[in-house]
Amino acid sequence: MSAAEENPLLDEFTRKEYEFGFTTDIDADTLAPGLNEEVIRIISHKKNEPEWMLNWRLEAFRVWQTMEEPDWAHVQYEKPDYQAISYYSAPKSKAPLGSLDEVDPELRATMDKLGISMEEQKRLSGVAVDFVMDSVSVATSFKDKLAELGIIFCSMSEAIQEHPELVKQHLGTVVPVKDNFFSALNSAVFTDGSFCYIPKGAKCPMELSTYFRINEAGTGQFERTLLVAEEGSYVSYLEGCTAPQRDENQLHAAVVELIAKDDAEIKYSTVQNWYPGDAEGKGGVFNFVTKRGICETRAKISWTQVETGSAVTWKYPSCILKGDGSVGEFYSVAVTNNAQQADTGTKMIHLGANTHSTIISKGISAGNSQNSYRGLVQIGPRARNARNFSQCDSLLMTDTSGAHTFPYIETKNPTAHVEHEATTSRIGEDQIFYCLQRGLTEEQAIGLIVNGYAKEVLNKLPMEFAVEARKLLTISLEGSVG
Amino acid sequence: MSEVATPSKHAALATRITDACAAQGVVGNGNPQALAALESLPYPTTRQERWKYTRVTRLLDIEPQATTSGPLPEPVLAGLDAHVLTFVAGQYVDGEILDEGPDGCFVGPRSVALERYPNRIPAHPTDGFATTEWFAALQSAAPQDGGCVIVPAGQRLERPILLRHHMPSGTGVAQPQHLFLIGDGATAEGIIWSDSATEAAGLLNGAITANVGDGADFTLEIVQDESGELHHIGHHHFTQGANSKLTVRTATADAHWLRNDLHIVQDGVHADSTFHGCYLPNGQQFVDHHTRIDHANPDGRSDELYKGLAADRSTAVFNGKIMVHKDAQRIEAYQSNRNLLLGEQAAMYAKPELEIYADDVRCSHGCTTGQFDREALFYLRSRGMTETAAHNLLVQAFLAEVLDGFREEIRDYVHAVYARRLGWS
Repeated sequence: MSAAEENPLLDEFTRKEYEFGFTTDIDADTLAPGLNEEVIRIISHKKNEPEWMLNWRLEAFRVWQTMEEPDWAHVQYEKPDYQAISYYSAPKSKAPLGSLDEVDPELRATMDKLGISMEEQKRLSGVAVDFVMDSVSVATSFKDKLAELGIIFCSMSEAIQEHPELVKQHLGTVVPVKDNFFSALNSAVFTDGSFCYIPKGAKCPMELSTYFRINEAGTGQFERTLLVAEEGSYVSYLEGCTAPQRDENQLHAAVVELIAKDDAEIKYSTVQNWYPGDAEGKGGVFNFVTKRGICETRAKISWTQVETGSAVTWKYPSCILKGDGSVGEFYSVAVTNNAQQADTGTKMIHLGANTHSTIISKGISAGNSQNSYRGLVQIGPRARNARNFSQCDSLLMTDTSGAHTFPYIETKNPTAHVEHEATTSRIGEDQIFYCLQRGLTEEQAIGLIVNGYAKEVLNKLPMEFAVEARKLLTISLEGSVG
Repeated sequence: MSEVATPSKHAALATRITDACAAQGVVGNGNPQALAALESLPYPTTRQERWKYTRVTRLLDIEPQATTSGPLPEPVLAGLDAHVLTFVAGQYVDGEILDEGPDGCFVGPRSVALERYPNRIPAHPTDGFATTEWFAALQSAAPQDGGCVIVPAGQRLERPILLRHHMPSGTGVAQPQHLFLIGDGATAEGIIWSDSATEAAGLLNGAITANVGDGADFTLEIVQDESGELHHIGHHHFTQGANSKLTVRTATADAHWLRNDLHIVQDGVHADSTFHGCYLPNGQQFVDHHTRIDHANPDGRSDELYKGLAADRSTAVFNGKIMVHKDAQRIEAYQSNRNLLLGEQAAMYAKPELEIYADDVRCSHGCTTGQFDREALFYLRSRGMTETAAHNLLVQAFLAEVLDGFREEIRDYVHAVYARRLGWS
């Protein structure tokens, strides 16, 4: 009996293809590949940006030229040719969009396929969505309703036009241009992203959401997200991403900056499902992202991420706990299958007194993939009574995958309490046996076990996202037990 | 944080050190591969992952002086019945040589072993680091004398071997090489004792190499009790055969500036490794313990425990790496690192790493950095102890888990050094 006959479900899912691998045939306005000052001027001009923004970009480009691509991460890939990437691609729209109804029908169809039916969301879930395709924001819903509370939620380009003082004041303050190779590149060429401003004391009544999609071939996506939560405000923000299936590697180098002023709280959730490449590791997205938040006094930033996509991931959502009593949290599930490689984790930088941080990281490695946790916990000399708890667990599904842990724990204050623990083990045969015995299929059993393993993280996701993330986890791993 | 050394400066340092070692006397030829590596390897900087917390720029200015032959240092562990061999600045000075002939046990200096039994010992007893790390290459390029212990298959050395190395005053440089060849099924216990004069301010760049055969049982206790301003870089390399048992305990009793690189390779199935260590820097001292275990074969087990505390303005570094190779299934590896920070300006850098390429494994590591347990402190204070006395008791209890593993003589000695340095008693 062949393997397929023996377990048809397993066979089906092993061959299951990336379900978001379609492309959308939309007229796009795409710049020829290559990167130089002229390209940056064109981008800035196309976006009708003010002089200061152009200068900021040019300065970033000059800095970027002096930097080298980092190679310390536990991933191996052929470095992208930065001159072969097109740095601007926008779905061509005939006229400025007045309302959602005017969005290109093809684009609407794409959103529907991705499950972002704006109309429906508007009515049912109360989630405000900003949709970014090939680095350009194409639609934002619920804007008016948010404006009543003084909340600004719009695309970055719009923010630069309409709220230049806010952008100028905060852009690059958390992730400076010179921070790293990819942040400098992003600063030079970012084309769009989301901007969100929550005024003092406002509690954002709905989840804000951005959906990122790379559509055009040969393009990179460089979006920039800036989220400012003024004193005592609260916001929950969701981010999702997909890309079409292509043989070549596509680059995604985003920067996300969060600013939580005194007593503010930001909850930032990501479900990352970029195209991971095929089973042999051909194609897929290089996900090189810099995400960082800064917490003022008693502020709280919570990062939750479910990482299932991308060929190579290099991502460390971090918190700078600057204010006394501030709190940072990081909850992550990273799944790698086939030839995927992930080097992801967080940095918790405790500067203020009585700062607390929690890190829960769950790695799942299947196929021939390599999955690394890399995290820094730094307690500064003035961070009295700082607390950190880190737990990094790895689950191995096959004997050809790898699970690695690289924590850095730097303590410079004797009153600090830092705890780190990590375990690595195989998916329990006894657990699978138990489930099989109760009549579950192996696939169902694995889905159940993995979801249970990742429960601590999944529970932190907002409702709509949690359902999606659970499905995603199961799909990413089906047929992967060795 | 970055420091860049000009190539000429570290090449000059390499020449000065190899010349100084040659002038004092080296044993055997330098490892040609290490010599070649020395030319091409970069000098460590804090930009390199393995040297991220260890600044070695200061070593570039060392001017090695010829060491003067002074009186022999006072004996250590006087009450212990052991084969004692004493080395000063990389040269053999005194000891009890055991030579049972070409098929028997041998305990003596490596210089004598090489003369009598050139075929029994490897020409270049070094590890992979000798071609990948600058200081290890330097050591391997000009190795000096050290103890050589050969225990043939199935034999057992009843008395422990004490290899003592002393650094005299001045800015001398020494690169001793100790060697243990423990045959299949053989049993031995060793002690490596490193100390220095109070005016020592040079560089000790030494190596310990042990090959532990199939089914052999080897225990090594390393004591580092260095006064003065000595800089010490230790390269400790162990290879284990199938079903062998290795125990390495390292006590850093006192050290001005110390970097230890402990590397264990499980070269056979069912190997068992235990490696424990403790450290207690104070003042402005710097102590760095780097460990790495390679589980290269199935069914291995390892147990790692490093505990320490950093007082005053000192810095302690712990970097432990557990590497489980592909197809090395059914590995059980445990690593634990616990630290207490006692000084307002003390710093602790810990990096417990796991790199795992096999799936049927049970690996875990835990790492904590913190303060005294307030409740324990309160309990002791409520029983009438002074705060200092309570602190001291808690420190002793904290270190006991590691120190109690040593033989009694060493445990008491190290304990006494800690007590003196932290002002207990």
